[in-house]
Amino acid sequence: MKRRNTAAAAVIACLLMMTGCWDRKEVKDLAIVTASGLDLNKDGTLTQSVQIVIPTPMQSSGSSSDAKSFFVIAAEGKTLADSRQRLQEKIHLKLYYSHRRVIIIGERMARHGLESVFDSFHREMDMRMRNMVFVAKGAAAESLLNYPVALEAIPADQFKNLHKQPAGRATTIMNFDATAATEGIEPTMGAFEVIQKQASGPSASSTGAEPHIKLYGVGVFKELKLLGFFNDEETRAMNWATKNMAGSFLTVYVPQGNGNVSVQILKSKHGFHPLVKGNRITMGVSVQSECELIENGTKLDFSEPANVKLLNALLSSQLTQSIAATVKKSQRLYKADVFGFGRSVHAAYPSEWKRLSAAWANVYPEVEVTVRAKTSVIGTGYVKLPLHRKETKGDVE
Amino acid sequence: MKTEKLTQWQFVIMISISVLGTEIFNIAAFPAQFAGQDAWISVLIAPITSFWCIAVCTALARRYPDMTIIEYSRSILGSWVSTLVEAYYLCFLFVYATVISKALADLIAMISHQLTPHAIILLMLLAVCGTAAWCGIGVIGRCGEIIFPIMIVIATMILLISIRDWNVTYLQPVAEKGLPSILRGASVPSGWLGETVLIAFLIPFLNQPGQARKASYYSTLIITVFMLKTVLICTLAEGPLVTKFPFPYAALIRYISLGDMLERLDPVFFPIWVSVGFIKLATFLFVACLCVSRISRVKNQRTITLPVVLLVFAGTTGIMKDAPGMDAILQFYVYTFPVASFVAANAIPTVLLVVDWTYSRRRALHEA
Repeated sequence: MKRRNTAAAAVIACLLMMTGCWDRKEVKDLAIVTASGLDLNKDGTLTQSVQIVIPTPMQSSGSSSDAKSFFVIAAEGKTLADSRQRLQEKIHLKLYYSHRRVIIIGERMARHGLESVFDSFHREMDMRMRNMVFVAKGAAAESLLNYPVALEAIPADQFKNLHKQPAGRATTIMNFDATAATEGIEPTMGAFEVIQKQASGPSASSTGAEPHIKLYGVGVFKELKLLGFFNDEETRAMNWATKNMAGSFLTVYVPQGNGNVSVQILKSKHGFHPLVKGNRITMGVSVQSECELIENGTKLDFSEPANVKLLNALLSSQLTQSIAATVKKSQRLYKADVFGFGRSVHAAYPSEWKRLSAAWANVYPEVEVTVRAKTSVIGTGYVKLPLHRKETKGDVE
Repeated sequence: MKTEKLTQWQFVIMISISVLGTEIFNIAAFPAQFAGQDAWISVLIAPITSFWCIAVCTALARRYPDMTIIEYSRSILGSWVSTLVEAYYLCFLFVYATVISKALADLIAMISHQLTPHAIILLMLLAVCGTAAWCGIGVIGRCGEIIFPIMIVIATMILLISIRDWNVTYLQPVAEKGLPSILRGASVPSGWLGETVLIAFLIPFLNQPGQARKASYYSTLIITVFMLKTVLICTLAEGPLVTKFPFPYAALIRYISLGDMLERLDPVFFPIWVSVGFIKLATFLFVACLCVSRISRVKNQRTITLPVVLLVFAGTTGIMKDAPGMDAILQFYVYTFPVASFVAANAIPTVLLVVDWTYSRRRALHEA
């Protein structure tokens, strides 16, 4: 009996030591992909490019060499999986996609439609729904991945961080698909452009001179096809109407003071107020925000309530105009409901929506949108008046 | 054979886990297929069948203490009619054990062991669960006591981490599709809640059978809260995509991230759900063995554990070979499952109770 127990214990001990190592993959056998780019070729095939990090030991920042921290390889294929297989033929390490953060889609691919390529991102185990998707305006995704990046250990992070600003939109695949699958709203995707500007001056070789990536705004999609873009101003206006903004700046020209004033948004609230009467649909868009004066380029003294009132009115009307212009662009030019007006009609009038939903794409351009933006300046920063100015009363006018 | 008794707490955990084990991963998909964004209302309606089942089964257990449903069906209906009932429960338990092991093996294969042959995963799964079933109810109860608190902690963590991905507009408008589709949506979760009929087999193993009703109601409450939580966070985070994933909760766990620092949390969170699934399978195997032993009047339940486990293994590898992968199980859940559970959990016990009640009334009148 005792012998049998000992034998059993030995067998179990051996088995325990054998666990876990069967299908192991060491880090040195993996090529870690941080970003992918998708481009459509003229013959209908697609090119997938992957950005692979070169693992390097941490260096002190002083000795920044020209060595890139990543490289890009690309391969063509009929489907994404096909191109992945061809990519694998170009590198001896196993391409490892689980740590990918960003997917960039070339403009031609986006205009052609994403239906066929997105399927692969949902099915496979090493694909993550949290990957961010962006579109490259007027450029191939592969070229976007190739531009050097300063001050960033993981090159793909720049795309994500750029679009976390108020003028950007960081969309995960999950968000994009959920929005596309929802009735009464069309998805948008953050967009990048390439600046080719040549720097004039002595430091021609610095990073400013080379072509580099800049946030452009968002791409407007309808039925998973790219229709066009909103630039950064329009994207900001769209974000005002659809989400809570904070940290953004607003600048307005004040004619009475003959100069510009900038304010910083502290917090904002937004709301849609749909009204359906028969075939007439009106949509009230309300935006309320509180802001703080951060730059005063005028002669006015904003400790005077009358001047603050004046500024509030100017800011509100400028905001109203920019939101209204963006809404108009989405209605006239793209006929795509990127604001989600249809969804708010759906939520408020579920019975009417049954009638409207099928033809919403045609109804949307006819929706009468009234924008009411209200900003109130609640603080003037650390000073009352510009410090260098002599204090005189009656500066108004 | 003298077996260990369960404490009330172990009983509550065991019943809750027996329902939640496989349910939790795909619960969100089914009600949403019919009720859309109102899946959470369906989930609140579903426990009605479970409460009904518990009321009836505990009433029967009070009339026939120390007996399982197999034995009192014999004394109520007589051995001939009872054969049908026994056969039904035998099939019910066998099919459910098969589906559970198939679902678990698929899940393990999908999330971590893509290259391992299914048969090997299944074999190891059934070896562990079969051992637990062989060791008896006390072992399963104690395992549950360890795993259940971890499960609650993990579920709460997932809830908290997912908060930043919630979008409340995905729940609007409320009650859009009307009552019929909400009720249709409630059918699949009610099928899972019908698995509480296990209490009809397990009450004799409780150390205080008088408390069975209260304990079972508590389990139903736990199950409902868990289901509600899961359906709500899946709908809030995934919106209309909920119906498109076979495992919406697994998709959510893969999606969540903690402040962009901690992503890909699934290797931490999945194992606990798999181990919950183990306990569920072990419970079902135990009850299946119990059922077989009571039907065939075998005194020692352990003698038939191995044949039952082998049968389940053969069934799992055999049954779903024609229809590949998850599709067969999804079909089963939507069409067969609610009806089969309703018959086992509500129809048969109610008939037994009504027949027994009429006979005892008549007998009482006769004697008076």
